[in-house]
Amino acid sequence: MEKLKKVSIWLFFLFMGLFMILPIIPLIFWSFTKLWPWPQLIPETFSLESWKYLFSDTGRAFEGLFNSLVVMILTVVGNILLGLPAAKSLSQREFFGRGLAFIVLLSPLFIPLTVSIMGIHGIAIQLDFLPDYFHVTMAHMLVTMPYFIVMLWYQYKLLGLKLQEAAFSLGAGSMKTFLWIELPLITPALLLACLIVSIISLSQYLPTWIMSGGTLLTLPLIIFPYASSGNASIVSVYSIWFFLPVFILVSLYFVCMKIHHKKVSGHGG
Amino acid sequence: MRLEQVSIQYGQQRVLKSIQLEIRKGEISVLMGPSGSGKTTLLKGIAGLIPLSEGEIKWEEQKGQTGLVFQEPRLFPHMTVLENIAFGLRVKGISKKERNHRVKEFLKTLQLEGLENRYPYQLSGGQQQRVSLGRVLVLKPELLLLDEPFASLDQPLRIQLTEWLYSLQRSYGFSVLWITHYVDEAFTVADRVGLLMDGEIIQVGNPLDFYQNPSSEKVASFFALSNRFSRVQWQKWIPNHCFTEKTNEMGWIPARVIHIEASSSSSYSGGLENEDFIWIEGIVRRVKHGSKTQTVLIESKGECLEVELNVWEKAPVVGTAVKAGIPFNKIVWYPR
Repeated sequence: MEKLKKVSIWLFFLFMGLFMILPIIPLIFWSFTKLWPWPQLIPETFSLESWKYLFSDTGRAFEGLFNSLVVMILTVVGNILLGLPAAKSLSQREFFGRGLAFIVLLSPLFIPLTVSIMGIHGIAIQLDFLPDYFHVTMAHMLVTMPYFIVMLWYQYKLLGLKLQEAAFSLGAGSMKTFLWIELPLITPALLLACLIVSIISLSQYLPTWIMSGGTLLTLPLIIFPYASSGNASIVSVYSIWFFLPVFILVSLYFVCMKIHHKKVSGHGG
Repeated sequence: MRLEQVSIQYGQQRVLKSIQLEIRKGEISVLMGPSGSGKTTLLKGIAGLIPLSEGEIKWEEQKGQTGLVFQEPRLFPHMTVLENIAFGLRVKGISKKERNHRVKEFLKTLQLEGLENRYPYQLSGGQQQRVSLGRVLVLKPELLLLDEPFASLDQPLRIQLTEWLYSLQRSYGFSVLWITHYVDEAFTVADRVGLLMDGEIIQVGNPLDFYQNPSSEKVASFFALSNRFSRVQWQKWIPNHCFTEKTNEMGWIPARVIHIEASSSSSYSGGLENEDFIWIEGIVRRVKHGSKTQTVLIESKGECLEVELNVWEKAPVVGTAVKAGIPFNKIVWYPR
């Protein structure tokens, strides 16, 4: 019975793994061919044409990646600056209207995206003197902040106030308590929240398009026309290119978690 | 240190009302009280974690340092024993080398030698609480505030740590304000005891004062003093006795000093004094067995008297008629 249970678990993970990995295989094949008709198992001819296009001037691979990364970093920073204090206050402080404030901060989750973005677009027009990066970042923050706040709100809830109280009783002020006690303890949730914010920000199309009027070319804005034209080879190349920063970010997250775990518990793994 | 008319309020709720308390230098003051009476709030107020609504804290000389030890260890889970103990020193800006040196010297006193690189999850409950105490004591506080620090530990460990802390206090000479709800713990270490109820200190004195001179029925009830009856009830039982006590309305007597005999015994004198005892007739209603004693409940004239017997003594059978010998001069009288 125990053996059957173990086999079932392994089978489950095997199928889950295949479900996630298998779609990547044709993507790789498509990126090296222009033609792959059915029922061929693998394409007959291979070429680097799509990759060459990606790295050509018209391909704008680096411009797209750079813009995406700038907006992503600004979005993460904005979330940390605004979302972290908000999450802390919502979970640890008692104040009148706390429930309402929580609902308002989470409202982008249940208000249609276009409504929120059009609303913020009105504000962005008045801040026309700022670069497009900031306008787009505002929209990305609106989309990502509910996730960020919820994750940290829960972590702060788990943390409670007892350790902070102990630190205060030993003479630590707010800043030292935050840096030496809170921050190390919320780091896993903070890293995960930043990772999720980064991935969501990287994949935003509509908010970026509306806020920049289509002038700030991030990766989704570059990919979208090719996707709608049905050019599978080019789309595959861009998809892999898009996957690269995501893969690096996820890897970076696991490395940071390992370092953090080793630091706070004396052993890795 | 003196607390003068200290009040603490949470919103509209007044948790502490005009507290007047003196903590003497080098003494252990124990504060007792039922749950929700405001004991922890008072400690947090003294430690500066909660603002005082009214009143002030006055120090004999310059403002002294306080150190608060909580009921649960509250160790920082991401720090080693050494880092936990050194936390307060780090806050003060003392160099890493110096604070490590100070902590390592102190580890022997804390009986934590060799554990300095362990994390809190790698320690036993007793060791965790020692680290928690060490974290405060390394700062050499003038006043140590203890909020039931050993309440979560099992009894043998609690007694052991209480004794250890008592010796430490006697050798270092710091003052202690110790909150506990264990009467035995309080009385073995206390120089003075205070009783806090409903946000007010209702009696302060040396430990035995609470037995020999309870200030009210509230106090007597908190310490679960046995056989607490009104003067009227005592008069019902002992109608022929001349009561010299006129002012205090209540009287209690330890269950251990009451004698019990079968009703047919010849020493019975029908409510009159027989040497030092006055004998009351009653019916045994219940026998409660404890780990060290057994308690016999004798009903007489509408009330139940408690009589304590040793475990090796034979208790009377429930429902039998007995007589209880009360040493009248041992009744402690106190105001209602």
